[in-house]
Amino acid sequence: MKARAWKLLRPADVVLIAAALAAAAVLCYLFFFSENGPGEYVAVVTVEGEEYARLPLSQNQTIELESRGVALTVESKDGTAAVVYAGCPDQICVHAGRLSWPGDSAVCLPARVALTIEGEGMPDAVTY
Amino acid sequence: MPLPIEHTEWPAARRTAFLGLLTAQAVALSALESMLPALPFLPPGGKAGFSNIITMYAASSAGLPAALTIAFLKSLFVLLTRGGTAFLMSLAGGVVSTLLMALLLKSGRFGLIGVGVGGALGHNLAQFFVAVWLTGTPAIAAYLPVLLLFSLFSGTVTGFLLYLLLPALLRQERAFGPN
Repeated sequence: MKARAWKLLRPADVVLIAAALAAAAVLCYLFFFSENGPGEYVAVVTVEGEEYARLPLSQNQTIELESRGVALTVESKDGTAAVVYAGCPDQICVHAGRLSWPGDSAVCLPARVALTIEGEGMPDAVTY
Repeated sequence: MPLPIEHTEWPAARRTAFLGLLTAQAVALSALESMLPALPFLPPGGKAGFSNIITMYAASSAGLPAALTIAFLKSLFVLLTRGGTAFLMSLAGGVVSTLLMALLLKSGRFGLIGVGVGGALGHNLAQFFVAVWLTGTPAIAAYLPVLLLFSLFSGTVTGFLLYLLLPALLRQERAFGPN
């Protein structure tokens, strides 16, 4: 690479940023396109790719599970769901907080566990 | 604005020492950013990417293989301190972002913010796909728009920080000897 003076911002940068913004907008449209009002939302717990439990947000429920040596407690309460306890070092899943809308997710990677919200209006796949 | 220089004629020992120093700095930045609190409005797992400052600089000044080595060694440090899962995430993010940043730098058409944004996008997208692979479900895909937006922000910060730090980094490089 030859020596050259580095500029902070050039036209191509703006194009890149605009492209990323456009991609984000398209994804938003695809994912949240048919967002209904409050309906029967369900929190889905997936362990190592397999669905493990479904907790309707309308019911207050607590489940405990363990995966790959990590203990987790998942709770549905007052129309939201959350990972209230996790034995993993980073606590990213706990910091995700309370989930209430379809598409919201909290993931514990060391445990290979994903908590996501599914809703009636949320498309599982979009084809044209 | 000072110029980053690719040094092609350094003796091996000097090159090793220089890259060792850069690796230590990348590791230090990585450790520093993991101490920042996870603010609630930030995407869970979204990292500031400060160590990309070093790999971005290394890709330009020392070449792609050196930059990739730095990224790999940084991931080894993560393996030792934070475990295997964090290692996979760090490795995926580090390698993809370094490759992408080197590409953008080589093209000569991007400024530091563009390269920083490219690096952040590469880093976060690679980690996103590793997360999908590890959890076995694409259900977390709704997270993508937030992730993209966050990458734009963190990449801009990274690029700007490199811009501010370039004089110091170049002084450091020159301290190793004439090109």
